[in-house]
Amino acid sequence: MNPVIQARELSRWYGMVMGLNNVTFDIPPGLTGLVGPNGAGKSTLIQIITGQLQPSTGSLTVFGQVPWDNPALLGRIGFCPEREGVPKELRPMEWLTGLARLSGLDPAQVPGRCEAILDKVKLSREHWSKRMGQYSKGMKQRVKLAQGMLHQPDLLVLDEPMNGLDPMGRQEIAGLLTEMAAGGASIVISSHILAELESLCRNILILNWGRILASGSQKEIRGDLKNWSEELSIQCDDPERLARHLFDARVLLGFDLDPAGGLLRIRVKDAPSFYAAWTGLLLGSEVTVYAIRSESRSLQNIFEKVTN
Amino acid sequence: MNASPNSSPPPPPPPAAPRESLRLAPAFLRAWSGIWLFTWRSQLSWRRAPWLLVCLLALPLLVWGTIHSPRGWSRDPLPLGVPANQVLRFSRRLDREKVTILDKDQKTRLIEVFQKEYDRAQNDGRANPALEMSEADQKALIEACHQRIQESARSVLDDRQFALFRTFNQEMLNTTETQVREPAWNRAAPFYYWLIPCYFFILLPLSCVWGCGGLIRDELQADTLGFLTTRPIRRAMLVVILYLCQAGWLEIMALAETLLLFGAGRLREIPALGSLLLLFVGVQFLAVLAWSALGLFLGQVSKWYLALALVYGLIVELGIGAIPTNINSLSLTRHLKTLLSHNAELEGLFQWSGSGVLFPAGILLLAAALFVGLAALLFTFVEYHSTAEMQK
Repeated sequence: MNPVIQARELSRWYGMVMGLNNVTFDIPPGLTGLVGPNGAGKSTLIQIITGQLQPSTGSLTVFGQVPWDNPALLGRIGFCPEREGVPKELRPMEWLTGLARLSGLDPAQVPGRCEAILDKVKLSREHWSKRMGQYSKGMKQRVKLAQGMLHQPDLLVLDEPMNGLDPMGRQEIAGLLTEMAAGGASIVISSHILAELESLCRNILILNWGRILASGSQKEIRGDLKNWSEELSIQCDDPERLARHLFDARVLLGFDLDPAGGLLRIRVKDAPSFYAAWTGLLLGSEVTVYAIRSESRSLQNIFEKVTN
Repeated sequence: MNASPNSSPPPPPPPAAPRESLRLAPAFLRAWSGIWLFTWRSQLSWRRAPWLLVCLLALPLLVWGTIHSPRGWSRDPLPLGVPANQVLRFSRRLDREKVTILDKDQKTRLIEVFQKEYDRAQNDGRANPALEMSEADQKALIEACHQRIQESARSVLDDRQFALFRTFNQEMLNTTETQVREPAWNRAAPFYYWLIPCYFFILLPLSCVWGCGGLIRDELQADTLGFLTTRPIRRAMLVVILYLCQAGWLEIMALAETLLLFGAGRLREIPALGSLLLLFVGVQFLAVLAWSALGLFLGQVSKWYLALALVYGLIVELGIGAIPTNINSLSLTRHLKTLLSHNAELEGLFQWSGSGVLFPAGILLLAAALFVGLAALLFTFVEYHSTAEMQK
């Protein structure tokens, strides 16, 4: 299947600040989660995908085309931004009507389409007559989602769409997105909370400090763990001695010492090789080990580990 | 390896349902109708209504309040002064010239003479069939008044006092006559002398720059620019449409303001308004287009667009525009003045030079097109994004 989005050596700076740092990835059709802590570069990437920013170097294409100032492509993309800003003086129907006209919808179809989409995002009709300045965060989120879906895009890009929604609202929106994906649309959804996306997206892209830390299906990401650092907590009688011994054996990427608690936390590069040599290393160190604990490898743990 | 229970990948989505068919045909007029809806609906809200009303009514109320009606103006049609003050001044003159000063009885009788003749002259003025007397008519009445005062004073003053009074009376006459103006211009001075230059060269430019300069910046500040730039429309076209809608709104507001201004002027019976109205509206139409385009361009250049507009005004409009060579054609106000000078009253008042209609009107339209083009070009190549992302 052809990727929907392709980035090659993509970088983006804001003056001296790095937004994205030389990233290369493909995003396949379907639901893809974009995960990373605040400042990871998610919004920058989303703004490049939706044609609001240009890459500083490298390239990014959506459906094989560059998004910047490309009306033909932008007609296939829907965007729901993270920030709460909506025109405060307008009512949702007025706003959607204006945006639908701007998108080039047939004027005869506009009112019906706007009503249908507001119903779809489950914004109660009693709120339609209110100006959006009076809306709660959750209601604004629904209207923003509605405007993104208004012109029935092939790719919907959502920046933190679950913000401000209650659990039931999140479930409703998740159901809506799944339905859209089932209808053939591709969806890129960002969040700084992995758990939100873990059950929704088959594909995940983990970002931090402008770099891609992992990408692919959840299965592929777990498989990649072999190449990632493994973290172990070891409780022993002389953590300092053990740390020195392991360091001399050149198997460590890093460690944290807690001599008072008799605790040593180590990070190793090649976990399988380390475990194979572990018994010999332990005997050679001549320390008494009381307990060894490996960190869990759920996506949440991985995410926390790689973004911490 | 432990895996949390919720970390298992989601099941594959159910089979694709057929998608609804929506055909997009982005076009200039459709896009314009969308942006126009945003423009007028955002402006016409109850929250903004008081501010809008204040803006619209301030100038007409000022005109109504500062300009006398012809009847009010003609209550004292002649600038004659106060009798007691005139007698006091004459008394001081006698004292300075070492002539016998006026006794109490003389003072009282002389004040009565002045009062009687001033009242008679003012009454004659009010009786004039024209609502507003010409300068010559006023001078004739004043001269007759002072002649009568002089004759009546003969019986009140002794010879030496009267000799000095003749000189004093002549001086009073001369002074009074210098204060005589064509009454219409005098009365309507706040409108013609003050309001029109202030409106065209200060208020209108500032309103337009303020209204159009923030078109992109305000959207950016409200975090709503992304909703517009992600639509299937070229960025340059988006800027042009935003400009046309905002300038259209400003044209409507300016037209309403003009009608209110001229309405207030009509209530105050300002002369020659009828011949000015069409020219006023036409020049205003061009001015709004040009100043709005300038505002749009400056707004794209910097968030300090109002300050930039002031610098532009000082350098180009006041500086270059005042240079007596062809380079002053760069000044937009110069072309507006050329157009306004087609009104005889304004030309007579300000001696604005220049002739022709097509050339200055063409230059104004060209300037508008140039500024909008530059703004569209900037928006095509320059990103406008919130700095919040950079601060993360």
